[in-house]
Amino acid sequence: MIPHERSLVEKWKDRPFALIGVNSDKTNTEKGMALYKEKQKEMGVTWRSFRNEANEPRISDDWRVRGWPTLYYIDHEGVIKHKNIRGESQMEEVLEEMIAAAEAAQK
Amino acid sequence: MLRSVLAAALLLSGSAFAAADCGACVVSQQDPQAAYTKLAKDFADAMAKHQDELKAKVDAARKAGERVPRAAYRAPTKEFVETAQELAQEFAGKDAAVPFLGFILKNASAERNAVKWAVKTLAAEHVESDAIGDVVDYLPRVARMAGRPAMTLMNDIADNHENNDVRVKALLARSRQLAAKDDSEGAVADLEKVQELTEDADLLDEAKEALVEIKKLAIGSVAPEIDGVDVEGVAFKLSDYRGKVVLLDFWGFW
Repeated sequence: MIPHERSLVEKWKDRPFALIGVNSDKTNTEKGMALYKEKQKEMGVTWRSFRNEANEPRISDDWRVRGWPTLYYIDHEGVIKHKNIRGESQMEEVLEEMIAAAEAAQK
Repeated sequence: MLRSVLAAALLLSGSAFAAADCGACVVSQQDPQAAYTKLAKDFADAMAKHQDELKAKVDAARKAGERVPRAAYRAPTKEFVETAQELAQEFAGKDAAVPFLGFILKNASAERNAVKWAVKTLAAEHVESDAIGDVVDYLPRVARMAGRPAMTLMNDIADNHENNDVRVKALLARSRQLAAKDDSEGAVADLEKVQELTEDADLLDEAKEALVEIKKLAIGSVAPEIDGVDVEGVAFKLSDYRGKVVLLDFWGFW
């Protein structure tokens, strides 16, 4: 999962694409944060994440997330286009199409 | 009409005969409502007691640095489910049995056989009764324990019950279940059906609110704003990324 996501971020770094996480690790404690940093480095997580627990209600509750990971595909206008597509090739296909639409809108 | 009168007469004479003929049979002298009230109260008391005892055990274990055995967490539902089963049998075939069957669906924790029996009995004897409307809310709860028959019964009530008020209750219960399974299309269809079938202001409000809640996260809707902080504590918003495609990933290392 993470290696594939990292490759997507790398592949589309010059195009209108962002991978945004909502992270549920216990980063509100020093120990939790240290653990997070360690794993972040080890796994090569290069993208930004919201801290799930920092919001009230938790972001995952507001978004009625019941299973992890949950994925939302949001287009350049903020519209939800897909949910929970997980197959790597299908993910790329769908995102490529969305990114092309975003680029077309820029022109 | 004539046939149903005859059937009723037969049923009456049959039961009267059986009662007179069968000295060992228990003929119900109980008032079902009083029996239900007593069962529900005894159950509530037992659950409160269980909670208190559990809390004491957890506190004691924490002090001693020990673990609380898993069994201690299990609510003592068995005897109450059994009582409900006996009472449902006592009023078998009558509307008065339905609340006891509902009690089983609502409160059983691990009594799988009792749950299966209750679903089967509701489907066989009460599916056309209006009383079943009061227990449809509990069917999704037992979907796992009772398996397909629970869902079949739910669908039958939601799609076919002659009384629209009962149908509406089942449709609302099913829409919640569908929404929980991320089937927003199915949930929306049920809620729209509710709006068609009822004029009850409270139920219409409930359906409307549920529709808003589902559409909020449906495909085609504008994603709700997230105004939060990143893991470093720096504030940012989801809408900061307008103009870009965003893959929003709820994740964790754990």
